Amino acid sequence: MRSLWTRLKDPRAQVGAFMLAAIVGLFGITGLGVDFGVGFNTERRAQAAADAAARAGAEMLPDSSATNANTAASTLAGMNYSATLYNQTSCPSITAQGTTFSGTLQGSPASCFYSICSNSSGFDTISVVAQRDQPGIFSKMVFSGKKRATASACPVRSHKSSPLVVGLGQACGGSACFHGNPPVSNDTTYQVCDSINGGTQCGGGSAKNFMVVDLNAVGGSSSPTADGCLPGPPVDSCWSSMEGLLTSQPLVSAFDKLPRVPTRIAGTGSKQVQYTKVNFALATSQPMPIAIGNPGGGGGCQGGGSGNTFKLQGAGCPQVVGFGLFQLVSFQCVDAATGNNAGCSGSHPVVKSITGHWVQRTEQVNSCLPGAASDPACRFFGTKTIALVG
Amino acid sequence: MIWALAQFGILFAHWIILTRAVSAGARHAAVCRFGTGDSPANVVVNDSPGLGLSTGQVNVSQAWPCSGATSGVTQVTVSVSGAPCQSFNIWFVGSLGSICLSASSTEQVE
Repeated sequence: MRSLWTRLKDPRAQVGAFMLAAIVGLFGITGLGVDFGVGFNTERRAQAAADAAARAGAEMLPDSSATNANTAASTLAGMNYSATLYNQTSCPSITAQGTTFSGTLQGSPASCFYSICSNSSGFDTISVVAQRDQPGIFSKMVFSGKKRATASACPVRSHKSSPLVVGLGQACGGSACFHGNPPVSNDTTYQVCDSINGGTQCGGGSAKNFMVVDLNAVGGSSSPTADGCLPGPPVDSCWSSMEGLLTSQPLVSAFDKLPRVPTRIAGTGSKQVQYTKVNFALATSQPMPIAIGNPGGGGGCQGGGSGNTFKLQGAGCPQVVGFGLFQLVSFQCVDAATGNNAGCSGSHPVVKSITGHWVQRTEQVNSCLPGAASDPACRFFGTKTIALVG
Repeated sequence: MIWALAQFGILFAHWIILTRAVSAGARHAAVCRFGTGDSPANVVVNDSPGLGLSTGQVNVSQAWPCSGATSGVTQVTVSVSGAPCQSFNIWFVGSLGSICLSASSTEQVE
């Protein structure tokens, strides 16, 4: 019998050996390529499922419960991919405060990688990691590992914010009054009634043309309103009566783009104010939506009202009778706690005055939609931002 | 083998384009309540250049714009099924058949 070395000296044997090596190599590379493709597919679909789940969960926050966010996230993850969502006990990208929801997503095993938590009051952040084991088809002939695709998404939803209200019929001083048609095209400076110094600037003879109205019961009201759905006669939960306006006018996109941050508290004692910081600097490139109202009208702050106008709870109880788009040109800020001019980069900056012109307005929007209180769309009056940050 | 790798690469690239376009269409459809700008089907077609898709081949489960009552309570699915198709041909063999791509994405209506 010839030895192997002797056989390999035969050219036919050499060709055969090279062919064998080439075939093994080709199949190996092909198999790895296919496995890579399948793994890439798994990872992309898991990422899509995590993104959709996180967005859907964030949509439920902070209005709804963490359980509802859990349900929404699970539903969307399952509809996009049968990836399994897990439970994790900490927020990866924020400093969690208060209670962290520690349930498990529906149908998921009680292990890692899912959280709903908050860096403020209420749950406003959800982090989702979707995983799916993807065993190799060809590579498992070489090694017995499983490919695990992991995807994460962490949307942050801002809290409800406050619109500015420009007053009608107030001592607004000449050209600053918001009356007349068509909309004013020349730039005008308006003073913002900002509740500084106990809110004394928001009523009586010192009433200004603008008022900051907080739909979350800032300014002395004891019962927070539900995201723009307001209580009490004669216009119970009537924010949704703005639905037609808000969905058919450019106000929608303007509201959506207006950047805001959660409500904050500044100062102490009688000078303590609660305010919503509006990033006006980013709003100068596009018209700002501003509610048009009657600051101090309606008599009292808890119910009542007159006619078909709106009545808001909060400082001054303004009646909102319309909306307008205001093209902001410039603005000045003061410190919310002291009232001193501190610039817009101070510790507690609030806007003292804004200068610009109106590009569109609608007044006396009176009609309430029957049964609109249950319309979930009404909660969209407040601005919000859902951003995938992971 | 080289031919097969090239064909697979082309098909893979088309699949990536299609899935990304469908995802973009679904995210666009999620704000159907506001309903401004291009329809989700147009977004899918515009985001998938070179695939030869038409808006009629894109299925969107919600109208554009959709009712305000859909916000937060339902989902919208954007899908493309059976298109585009890629034929596999070898000049000396002829057609070996074709593979049609499909993609789907679901988002919660905002």
